Amino acid sequence: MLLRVENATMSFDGFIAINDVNLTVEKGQMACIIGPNGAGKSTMFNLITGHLTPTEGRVFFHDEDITGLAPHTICQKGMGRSFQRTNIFPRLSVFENVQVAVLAHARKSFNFFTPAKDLVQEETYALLGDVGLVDEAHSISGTLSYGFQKQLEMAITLASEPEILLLDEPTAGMSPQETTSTIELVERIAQERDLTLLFTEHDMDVVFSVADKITVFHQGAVLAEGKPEDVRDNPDVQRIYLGEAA
Amino acid sequence: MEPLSQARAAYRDPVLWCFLAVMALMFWVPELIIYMGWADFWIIFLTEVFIWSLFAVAFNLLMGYGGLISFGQAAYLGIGGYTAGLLLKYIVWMNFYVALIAAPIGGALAALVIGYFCIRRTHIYFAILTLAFGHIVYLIAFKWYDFTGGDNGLIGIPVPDWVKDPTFANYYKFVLVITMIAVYLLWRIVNSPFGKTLTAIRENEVRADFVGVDVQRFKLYAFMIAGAFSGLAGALIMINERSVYPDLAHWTQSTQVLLMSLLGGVYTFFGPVVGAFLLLTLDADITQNYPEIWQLFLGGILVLILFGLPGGIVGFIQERDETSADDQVTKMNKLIAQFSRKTWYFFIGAVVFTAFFAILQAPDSWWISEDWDFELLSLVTWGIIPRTVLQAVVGAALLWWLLRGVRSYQLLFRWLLLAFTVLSLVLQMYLETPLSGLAIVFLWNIYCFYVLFQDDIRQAFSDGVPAAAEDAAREAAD
Amino acid sequence: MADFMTNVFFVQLVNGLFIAAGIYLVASGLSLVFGVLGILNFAHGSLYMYGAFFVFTYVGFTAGDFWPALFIAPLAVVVLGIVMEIIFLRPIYKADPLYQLLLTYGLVLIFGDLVKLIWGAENQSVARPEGFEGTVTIAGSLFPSYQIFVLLPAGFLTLIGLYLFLNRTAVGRTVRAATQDREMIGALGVNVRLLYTGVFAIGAFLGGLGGAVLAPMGALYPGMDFDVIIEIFLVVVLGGLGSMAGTALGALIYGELKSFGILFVPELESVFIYVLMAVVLVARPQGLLGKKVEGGH
Repeated sequence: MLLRVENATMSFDGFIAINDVNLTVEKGQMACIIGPNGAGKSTMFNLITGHLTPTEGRVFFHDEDITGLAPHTICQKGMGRSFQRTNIFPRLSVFENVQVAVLAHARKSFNFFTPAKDLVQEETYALLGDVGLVDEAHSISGTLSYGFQKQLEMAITLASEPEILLLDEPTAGMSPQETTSTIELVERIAQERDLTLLFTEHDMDVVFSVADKITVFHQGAVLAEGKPEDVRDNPDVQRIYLGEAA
Repeated sequence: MEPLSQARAAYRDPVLWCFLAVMALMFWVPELIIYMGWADFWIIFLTEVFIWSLFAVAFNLLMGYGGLISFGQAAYLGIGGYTAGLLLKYIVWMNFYVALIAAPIGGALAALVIGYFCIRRTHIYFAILTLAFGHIVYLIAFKWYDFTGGDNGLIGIPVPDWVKDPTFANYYKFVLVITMIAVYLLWRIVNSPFGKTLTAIRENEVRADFVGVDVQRFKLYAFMIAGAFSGLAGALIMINERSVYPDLAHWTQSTQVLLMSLLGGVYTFFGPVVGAFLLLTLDADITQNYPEIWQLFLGGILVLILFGLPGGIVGFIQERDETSADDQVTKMNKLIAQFSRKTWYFFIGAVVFTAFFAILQAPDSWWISEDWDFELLSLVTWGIIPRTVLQAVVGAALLWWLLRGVRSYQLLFRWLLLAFTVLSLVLQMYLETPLSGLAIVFLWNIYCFYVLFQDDIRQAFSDGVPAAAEDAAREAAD
Repeated sequence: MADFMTNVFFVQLVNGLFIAAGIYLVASGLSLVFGVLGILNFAHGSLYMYGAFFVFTYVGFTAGDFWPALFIAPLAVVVLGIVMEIIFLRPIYKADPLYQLLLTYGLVLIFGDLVKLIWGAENQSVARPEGFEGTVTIAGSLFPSYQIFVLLPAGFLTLIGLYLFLNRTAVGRTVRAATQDREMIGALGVNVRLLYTGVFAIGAFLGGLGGAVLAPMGALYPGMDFDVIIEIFLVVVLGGLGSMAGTALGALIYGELKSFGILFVPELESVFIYVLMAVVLVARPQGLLGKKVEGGH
């Protein structure tokens, strides 16, 4: 069991965003969380990655209790995350974006006097190569196209050599072509690096083509869980979610 | 990295050589000033510029690189000044250099304690907390008579005899060397992995956190480094005056350094140095004649920067209008169009500044100079209005013609334009514009030189650009 | 002895109320403006200073007629405030809060020197109005009658007036809704520009009123804006940014602490207050009555 969330509850000033949720992700799985807006998907991610501490319940990673740890500690334990809105360092160059992440992972950030430009070049360029951004290495990342920025974010996330990737709406705001190429990229990288995936997604074609396990959130609780075909056939799910979408 | 190879890397660092070269050049400036018979004031003035540059660069480590706007940075200036001052004053056997080293340590320790409380808060809360803690430091210095001397300050602090030479040249050299070393260290720091990571935190704290960076620790370290170097600057000010007053820690000093950084450009390393120099020269020029409008002027500059010059002056000079998607010709045309636009701004700025200082110096000489006998051939003796109009009209006509040549990439015009800006500087010298006005024209010189000699633009000039591009250039300019 | 102690206690308590009333008068405007516009206005201290100087000018012109000045001076400040809001603040409502803070700081510098140019760099003073120069005896202790009969009621009436305005009038409820959730104002179907200008005008009025009421109690000098601004920042932040009740509570705590601080740590009384406030802010960054700020944003 790679990731386990036990009886997690999260309330903000009386509003219950997550209500007694259990969730497990096994190694090598492509797990997906779906659900209508406001169902608590992003909150769930924030609980797992330490950006929020659950009001009740625990989070385990590799059977180690990580509840309440700081995000950077959780990241160092092998969890990678992309955010819903593109999350890069917009005024740094593409190279620097990835380099900062590589340095942090290699524990080389606390170095006050060595010129940074000479460090971890090889690793950084390897990552840029993986996502196809070598040619843009010296562009300012904020000026890149949206698709490139998403690829860059992927490289940043991979820099910490995670075992599990949490992707929050990886194709949000993308054109069909961009969606296809992004999903190809994710699948390729997950396969090459033997990554486990936990993602949220609104595009049902993507969900059913990638996921091998789907969890459906509704009003902060798990409504259904299982193999894609089981979830697709579940009448509750069809009523509250797929029915609306269709 | 092995120590040996690290030493070799430092040896190869071109920036280090630049620092050393500048230091060697500046080292003999006092001799030049004395030889030329200029006032000793300039030696003291430059010493102050060095110290404030150090303070501004240290402050900008927080503001520009860390995105942390501290409204209480003067606290560390004060702590440094008082640490060294109290040690020298009350401990008889205290060594001058030990006291000097104690100042940055004191600054760093104070920053550790205060930073521990402040860095967890972001934005406005950080600004207010640093303001409040800075005020606490000021109040302690102001009210604790038994220890700090209260508002009487600490006076008559003993310093070695060599500091006290009548021309101040010794202390100038001492400060030059110390600040050069300190600023070089800061340069290394901002370009180190620590500095890069700090910039990443400024850009996106949440993301930095989730690549595994311990954000709070980095901020605290940055706060301490800034505190240490500010403390050093405080001690240098204290030694310069041989006394220290609570005003050194007052929050108006914090905003002064903030203005220097903003004016010079917060996203550049040397921006604050330019800002410190400009602000201090402006201060000297304006306070000399009209001390009561100095704050008014500062406020005006601040508003102007915020509305029109967000990158500061160095940012203005360095900014390039480009996106990676453009092809070569479009890129060149955009850059040249931007260049011509900014040249106009500089020109207008220079004319306005000359007029402004002329008014300050001889307020009643509107139509005809009251101090000098009018001579047709001597522009200095003209009244402010005819002389400014003449400058504006003739200058604008020439500039328009020159820029037209530049936009069609004629090699000759590049040189002519450079000559034009250099001549403007000579003209300002002839008109006896004060130093700050000269500084602005000088920055214009630097700007033209900087842009026209960039590799790609130089290439465009020597190759010439196809006729199609020429038309496009004209369109872009219209 | 016990009697003496009670007496001292009572005197300090009332003195604390004086300080609180004065600081509340000024700080309430700052708090209101922050709550609605989201701008922490450095120049609020300047508005306060102009309120005081306008009183000085009016009293000078009318040879000692103080009472109308209490209304006219704040109104003049309102005009100044509206001009400032329209020219400088309107273009930057969407900008980074720190950018706004810096801009208002630039205005502080400009306003400060204008005072020097208009009224000169020397200290000025305003005489207390006729009939309020002396003292009154309450429970065996002497108090200045101006503070008792003008300052305290002014502070108290402002508190009540703001409460009634915010809770009992339609406009006030809109303003209050805006302080609760600034993103929501657009959805309320009100003219946001007008609301902002209006609120800023009220804030300027309160700042000017503070200056006017406090004018006869001390010297007027360029730089009084600097001296007041840190105090009111702390009071507002202590109470909770954007919370009107918090500002009143903050002012009360500030006044009493300052008053009793003089008794116990005479030399470092102000240091003591700042340290205490800093501690509160570290433990409870949203202030005493402020909304919780999630994750420090």
